[in-house]
This record gives sequence, C-alpha cells and structure tokens, in this order.
Amino acid sequence: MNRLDKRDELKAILEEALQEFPDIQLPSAFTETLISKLERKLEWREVLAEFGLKIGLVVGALAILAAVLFFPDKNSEIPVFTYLLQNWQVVTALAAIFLFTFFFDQVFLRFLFRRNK
Amino acid sequence: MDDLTLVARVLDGNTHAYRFLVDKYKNLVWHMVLRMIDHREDAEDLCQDVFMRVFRDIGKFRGDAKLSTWIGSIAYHICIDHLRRNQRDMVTMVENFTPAMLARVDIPENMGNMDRASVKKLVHQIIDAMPYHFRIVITLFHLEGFSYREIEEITGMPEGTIKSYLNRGRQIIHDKMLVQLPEIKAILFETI
Repeated sequence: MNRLDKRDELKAILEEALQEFPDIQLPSAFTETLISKLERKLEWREVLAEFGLKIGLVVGALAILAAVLFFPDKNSEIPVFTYLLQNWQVVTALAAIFLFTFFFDQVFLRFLFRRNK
Repeated sequence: MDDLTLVARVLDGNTHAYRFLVDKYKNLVWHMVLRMIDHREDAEDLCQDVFMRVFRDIGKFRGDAKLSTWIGSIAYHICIDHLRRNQRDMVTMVENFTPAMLARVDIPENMGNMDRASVKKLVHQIIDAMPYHFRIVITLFHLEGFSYREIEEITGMPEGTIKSYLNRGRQIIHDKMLVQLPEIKAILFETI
C-alpha cells in the first residue's frame, strides 16, 4: 500500500470513528423498566385523582347540606352548627381520623395491592 | 408511522405507541446523554428522565420540528441541568479549554500497531476528553446526522458556533493524534 492509499485509509477510519459510538449499550431491559415505571406513576396519579374526587364529593355534599340548613333563616341559631363549633377539637379529630382511614383504604392499600399484582 | 401519528397515539394513552417511540429514539438519547455525562449510572437514570419528560410534555409537541429534534432538545437540557447541579466544578468550559488539557488521554502500548480499532478507540478517547459542547456537537452532526439547523434547535447554539465547534473539534482530534502518534504524521497529515 503506498503512502497516498494509507492516508486515504486513515482518513476513512477517522470519518468512521466519528460516525460510530463506543460499544456501550443501554441495558436491554431499558424500555421495559421505563414502561413499568411510567405505569406505576400513572396508577399512582389515578389513585390520587380518585381520592381527591371522593373527598371533593364528601366536602361538597357537606357544604350543600350546611347551605340548605343555613340559608332559609340566617338569623336563627342552628343547634348542629353551634354544637360543632363548641366541640371543634372533637370534630377536627374525627375529621382527621376519617381522612386518614379513607386515605389508607382508598390510596395506600389500593396502591400496595396493585403493586403486588 | 409518521411523528404526528405517533404523538397522537401516545396522547391517546396507547402504551404500545409509547414503547415504539422509546425504542425508536432510545439510541439517540443514550448517545447524547453518555457523551455529555461521564458517569454511566447517572446516564441511565437521565435517559429515563428524558423519556418521562417526553411523556409528560408530549402534548406540547406541535410538529414544527422533527420529533427527534424535539426529543434531542429535551435530552440536551436535562443533561445541562444535571451538569450544572452536580458537576459545576468538574466541567471544562469551552472558554477555559485548551488542547493541552487532553493530556489525560492515555494511549495504549500497542497503539503503534495502528490497527483500525485502535485508531477509532483513540479518536473516541480524544472526543471524551473534550468539553461537552464539542462532544455534543460532534455527536449530533457526525453520529446522528443532524443538520446545523437541527443542532441549533436542539442546543440553542447559533449556527456559526456549531460550525466553529465542529471545525475546532476536528482540528483538536488531528493535533492530538499527531502528538500521540507521530508516526502517522508522514502518512496522514503531511499534505494538509
């Protein structure tokens, strides 16, 4: 091989090297890992959205009930409200227990069961 | 399947379409991320982050650019954020870079044999020792076959800067090879 041929060959090798990537591959399970990660994320989001919707329904229903009781006669004292306001600590504790139980049942347990499937 | 159809199917929640998209573009993302991030485990995590971001933002893809360009842009910016967050002091900026910094490229003992694989390995080592701006531009242009315009869309660098990095990058490779392998000077570069 003469010098010109060698030069052309080396230049070709340089070009090839620029167009190649060192032989380091992505793990073969990359796509599968990614898809399962994404599915878990979507499930988690769906469960949280459902939980939010249910809480919204409960709070909304209570708000409507309160409005129905309150608006017909704004000036009179409603015994239920008075009782709730006077015992706000108990009411808050009960609401917290309800929220925690509801969250545990609707979100945490469902997420655990789905994950173990 | 064209880009817009693929995007529409992913938006419909079709996981097969998303899987197809990942398989189609994972090598592009892998090449970009691994060229910019030295740490392999971090690179794998970043590839996942890129495709999670692609899924999250795919509704924003309008089809003005190619999907590969759009995904490349996400990959580039995620890598930049990662470098800024974790490797600020380790990153050699272009303005501070001198070819002398490539001294850390180690040449194997048998390089004198000049076989094809060894020369390629040397070129890759030289590229890996350059600042990431050079690496990414060289990768996008030579390896992925993007045009200057597309590289501009991916990286936000002006076209002139891209051309400059490409030319300087090639020159650095030539110069470094001359230093490391003086015996090829007579063959390769004497008429340049």
